[in-house]
Amino acid sequence: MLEVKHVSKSFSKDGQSQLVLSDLNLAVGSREFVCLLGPSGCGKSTLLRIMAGLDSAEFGGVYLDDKLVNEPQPKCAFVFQDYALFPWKTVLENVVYGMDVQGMYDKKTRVEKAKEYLKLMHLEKYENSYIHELSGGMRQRTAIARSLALEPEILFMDEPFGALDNFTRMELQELLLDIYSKNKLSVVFVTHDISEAIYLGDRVVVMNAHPGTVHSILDINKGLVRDRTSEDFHLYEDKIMQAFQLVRKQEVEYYI
Amino acid sequence: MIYKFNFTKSAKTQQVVDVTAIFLGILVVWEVLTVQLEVLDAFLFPSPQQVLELFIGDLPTIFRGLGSSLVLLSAAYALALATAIPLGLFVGWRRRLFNAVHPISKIMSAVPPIVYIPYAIAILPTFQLASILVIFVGAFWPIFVSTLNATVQIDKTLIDSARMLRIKERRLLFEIILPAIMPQVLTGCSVGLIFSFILLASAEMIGATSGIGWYVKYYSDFGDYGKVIVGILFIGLVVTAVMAVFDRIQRHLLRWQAKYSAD
Repeated sequence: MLEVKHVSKSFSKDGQSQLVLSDLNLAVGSREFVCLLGPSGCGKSTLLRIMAGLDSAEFGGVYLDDKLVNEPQPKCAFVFQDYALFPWKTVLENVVYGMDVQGMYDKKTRVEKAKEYLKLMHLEKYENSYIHELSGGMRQRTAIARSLALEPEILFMDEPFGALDNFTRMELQELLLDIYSKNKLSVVFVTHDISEAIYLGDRVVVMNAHPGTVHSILDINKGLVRDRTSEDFHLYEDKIMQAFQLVRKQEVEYYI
Repeated sequence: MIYKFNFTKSAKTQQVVDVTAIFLGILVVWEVLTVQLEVLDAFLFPSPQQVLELFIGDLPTIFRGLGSSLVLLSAAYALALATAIPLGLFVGWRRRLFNAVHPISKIMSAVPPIVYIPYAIAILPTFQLASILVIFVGAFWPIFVSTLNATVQIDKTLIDSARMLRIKERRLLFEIILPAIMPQVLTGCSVGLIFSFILLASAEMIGATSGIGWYVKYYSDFGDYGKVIVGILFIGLVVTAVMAVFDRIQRHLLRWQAKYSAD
């Protein structure tokens, strides 16, 4: 169980302190797919980084099984929007390296495991390619394979498909759901794409901006939304749209 | 793909032809001016044939000189590599250390190392040690400064990606940051290598009793300009050969980059 308790965070910009997250509370259970959804600037990426232990909260804290998260925790992996692969390593070496650092298995097993994950991501033909030879979708698949190889209990994903074209994105969404259903892991997924959040998440956390807070949390009945064109899918979309409309109204009132 | 291959190949052949043509052109002009027309003073401008004969006759001396020069150069350069790269990484990674060291390194690296030569010869017991020190200083700064700046400016996502692995600092420095900044480090190394040659030749011209710099200085004192030209041409060849080896190593180390993986 990953709990965010009363987390606040501000950044200083032009000498002025700006509140990015304000007294934010959230809990992610085990084997749960949670999407953090919100407009840019709502602090969803900052929240994710704090949850992963890459940044620290100013007030409040994040607790993993009641233990304070003040640095990246074991059994956690992070997928970045711009992949953050190691370009001087081949695809296979990228996947093996994390296991090596974490002291998992012996050398031979690491390579075997890495090959399995690459196969899972349909990358077996590109094991010995360097990163610059891959397309964006293939790079992100490598990054996901690298993260899965760490056998994480929590997978943090920061707009991982944001830079990809629509076709590749849908293909990777399918792949991710497939992996999620077959592995014992939680996913915390940041996105600003409403339909992506509904399609992937068990729960969608809708966030307000300036400062970032949780507006509402939407439970998604996954049985209903397998089909992106179904009525239920649109119903969820409408709900979220309404939520954002509400955000706008509040802001307008504020300015009047 | 095939088209591209053919294109680069023919471009390369073209280049070889062009370079050879320019080289031969210079030889012809030299020959015409010195031997055919005799417009240049024969004492200051020996003919191509004379220079070639001197070169062949003096080969043993030249190569012995090259040996002693390369010992100095490689000792100093290896020392610079072994100190500048780890120090640059470490200082660049520690914010506070960087803030303290950066202004100092800016001042220190601005001093042309050539001015240290007389002082180094005065304070150190042998000429060898003095020139190793001076070459070391000349190579150290460009390598250190380029490593330092690249470390400070490294892509923060790469660091985050490594931090998620709960990596130890030592592995982070040498297995993540160092390969990531290798392109900039190698640029610094190549500048450092060229500086090394300049300082080697300068030091030898001031205080040595052997070596390729000494050879040029020694024979110009006797007015033997044929040998001076031999020395200059030989230094050019040596530097070119060493830089070619450096280029090979660079290509190997950066084979993961798009521009080097094509060949």
